Amino acid sequence: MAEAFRSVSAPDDDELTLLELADRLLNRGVVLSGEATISVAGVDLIYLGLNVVLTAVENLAGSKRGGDDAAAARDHGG
Amino acid sequence: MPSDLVYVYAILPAAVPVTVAGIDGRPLRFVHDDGLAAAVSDVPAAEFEEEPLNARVRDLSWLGPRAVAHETVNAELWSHSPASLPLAFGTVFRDDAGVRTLLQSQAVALQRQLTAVAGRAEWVVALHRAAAPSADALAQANEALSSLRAQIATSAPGRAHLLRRRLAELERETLRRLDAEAADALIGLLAGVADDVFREPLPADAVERPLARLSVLVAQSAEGALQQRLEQARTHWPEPTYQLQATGPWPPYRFGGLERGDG
Repeated sequence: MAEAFRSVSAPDDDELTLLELADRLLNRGVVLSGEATISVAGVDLIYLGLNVVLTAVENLAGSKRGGDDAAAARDHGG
Repeated sequence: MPSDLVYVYAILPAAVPVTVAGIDGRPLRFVHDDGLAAAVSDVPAAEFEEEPLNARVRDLSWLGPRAVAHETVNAELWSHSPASLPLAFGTVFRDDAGVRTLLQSQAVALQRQLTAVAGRAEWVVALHRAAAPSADALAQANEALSSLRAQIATSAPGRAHLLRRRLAELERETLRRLDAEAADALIGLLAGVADDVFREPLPADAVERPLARLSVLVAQSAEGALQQRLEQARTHWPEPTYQLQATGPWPPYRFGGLERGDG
């Protein structure tokens, strides 16, 4: 695998935003649980928030691990 | 009521060694059944029951670190396993028995999906129109615009006013056609190197709407070809009129995952 999560758009846009992440992770909307359906549908933040600049994921993750470690972890199995 | 629920990150053909922790730093473990393994960790019921989850998921300061943990786990699983089905954020079961029931009841579909995404990554490609094209560019796309302009120039004020309204309408139509053509061309271009292209539905109330947002499933061996196509698209639709953004490689959230539980 090549470097993880490099963006191929504008150079100043090479950090994955929380919004992009949330978009990927939430887009199924509906998930299953043992007895009941847990719904995370109706979460409107995906596009409504696009005009807001959000913290890059690596910054959010910073307290747990560095960006380089994250990339290394992903490259590991590549 | 138990204080913990079981959070599922992904489904794999078999357990793989992992070095990362799950949400809130809780350890990852695997639940096995029917030749499948679910990567799970325990989460507090106080936050992940349906009601609190739906309330908290809107709070980006709550969601942020948990979404990052979800993705960190999935990126690791994806890179260590021949195939993985990353699940949506918030896939929660009462207990391990619930997870095993899922693995049993959907075993055939899950195996089929694992085969479909093996060795493949997901890319997200968005096409935006960043600016309105110039009047010249529009006129090139629609000859009727030029003749209408010529007509306006030689018309009396009252008639010219009516014609100008017609002109504005025709310009909007032409722009919509150009946008649709650009999106279709992009889809065609990507379909040539992808195993699957999914056009994401866009919320109607979006503040900023891309012309098209595509999830693209691409074999890892075809990543170079994908980059070439993206570059080709960029050359074909020069900025600033059309802009292309791509992120990836993602674990296959769109093409993996669970069948929607509609029934």
